[in-house]
Amino acid sequence: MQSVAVLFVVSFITFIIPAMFHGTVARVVLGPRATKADILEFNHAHFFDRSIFYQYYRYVNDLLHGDFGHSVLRKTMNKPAWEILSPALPRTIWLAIVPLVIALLIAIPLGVTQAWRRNKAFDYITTFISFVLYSTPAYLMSILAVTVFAINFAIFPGLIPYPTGTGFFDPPIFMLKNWTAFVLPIGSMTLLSLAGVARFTRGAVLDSIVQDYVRTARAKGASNWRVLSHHVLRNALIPLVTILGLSLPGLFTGALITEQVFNYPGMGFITVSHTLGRDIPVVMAATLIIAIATVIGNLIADLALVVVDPRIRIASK
Amino acid sequence: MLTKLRKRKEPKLLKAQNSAWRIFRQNKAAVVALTYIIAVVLFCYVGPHFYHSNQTDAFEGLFSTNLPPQAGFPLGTDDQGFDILGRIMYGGQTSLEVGLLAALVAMTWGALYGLVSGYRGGAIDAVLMRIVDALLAIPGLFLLLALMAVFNRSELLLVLVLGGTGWYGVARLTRSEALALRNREYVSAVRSMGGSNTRIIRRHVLPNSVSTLITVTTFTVGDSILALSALGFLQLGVPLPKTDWGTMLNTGVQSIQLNQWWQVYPVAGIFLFLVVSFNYVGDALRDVFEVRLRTQ
Repeated sequence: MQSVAVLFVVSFITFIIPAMFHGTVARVVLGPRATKADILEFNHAHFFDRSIFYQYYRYVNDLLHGDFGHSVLRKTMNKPAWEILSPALPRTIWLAIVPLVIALLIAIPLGVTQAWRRNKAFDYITTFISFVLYSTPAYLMSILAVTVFAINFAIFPGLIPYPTGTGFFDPPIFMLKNWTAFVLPIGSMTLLSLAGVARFTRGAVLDSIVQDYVRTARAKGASNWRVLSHHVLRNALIPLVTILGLSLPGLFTGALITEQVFNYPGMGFITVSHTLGRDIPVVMAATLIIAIATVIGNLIADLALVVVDPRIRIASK
Repeated sequence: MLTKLRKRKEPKLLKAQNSAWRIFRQNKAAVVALTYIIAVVLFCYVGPHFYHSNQTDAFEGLFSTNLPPQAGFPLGTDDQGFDILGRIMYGGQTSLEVGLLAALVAMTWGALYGLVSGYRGGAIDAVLMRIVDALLAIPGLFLLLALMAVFNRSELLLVLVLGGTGWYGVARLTRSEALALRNREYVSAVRSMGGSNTRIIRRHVLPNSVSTLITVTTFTVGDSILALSALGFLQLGVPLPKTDWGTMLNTGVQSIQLNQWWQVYPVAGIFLFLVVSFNYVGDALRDVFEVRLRTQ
């Protein structure tokens, strides 16, 4: 229910930004020699003379019928935005998810170790490194990766070949087939989310390590390993899942930059090229589609929370 | 929760401001970071008065493009023939100004929004916070691109756009702060004496939220500088002949395959450690204010 409200607001934003300029559209499209009558007719045909509420109703109506608007760029004139963007969406989703999973596999043990040996040399060094990684812009990371591993040492290719297939499960197959080309982009994106997740795990573990139930577990004679895995981590995971859902927009932003550097035609790459060409309908459609993907991701995180936290399961029954 | 309450009962007798600085000083990394920030600010603003270089004359630049570091050009020149050391100062001014102003815009708007939402509560709060949730669901850079596609590029636009996409965190924090303060006894006391809402917000809620605001603004400055550099990298930064660090990195990257390292590493280094420093200072401030809350 809440996601519907969220999407409603997002669609209003992607509607209102271009709508501020509806008054001038006719003049631009029809040119300087158009008469007043032409302009009035154009505005009438596109409902620009109706109230803003009616225009928004038309916009949402179109969206619900799968019409995200049409391109105004010369190269792709009048092509539906959905047609331009739909092959790119799975590419971006997979490019965001794969590094996240790898980062989780590394960062959770790392964060637990940091918390376990807190304020020791290991903690200080890894904290500094994660601060640097956390502050590194995605593009700098990708560029450094390309410079060192693709140019100076030429181990991995610095560009991704043009992907084939437009289905949802084509990108992972393509990734496996050309795994050498994906080492650098996925590697640099992993490093970026690694820092944040490790930092958060450290905090969450530190929070739960001082709780009474941990002392109880110790008093029962549970081993260090059992206390960590059954009592501390189990509770630390709960906020982590929520944070993962919230970090999705950041992941898509990271993917946008990575696609740009490695020439991978995902959502970000296409959005940037259409932004430079001022293809407003396609950019707005891309923003909306990415927001929808984020909302769905958050829903999945909420469902995962039910799996991780038995209290929610019981409460909702 | 219990430990927090217990500690609150035994207040340490310290002057608030002295203690804040004392606690901050204990965090060595944060002191180094703060020194670095001040040094970079001096470097960008005072530096050009001592180090003169060509930053505007494109014609003179024609004869000195892509030179490696040498006498006269300590860090070489870029593809326009501008001296890189001077360019870093010049671009740094833009990056710092836009970053700081954007953070101020974000803080003002976010604080107002959060105060209204938290203080009024109820339906208004629910609606306002759902709007923030919705905005958070849009990846920042996509929203920035959407805005950059519509408007003409300028420094003012960058400030507004970065400020306009950076206030969610501020709003959420201020809101939770206001929500907590709203029900304190002293607020009820003011109200029973006939104090207006404006007075309560201005004299009681706002001063008590200042610490949170300062901390979160520190992080926002770092984030804005980062976001600006990302836009610069996507060729959507400030237009020539002005520059910012992201734009410099973008031009530098195109020449790195020719092994012209001087166009990337100096900017990347100074910029990266600046953002790290803002994060460190923000972290230290958070510790300072949290401790002050406990000892109050």
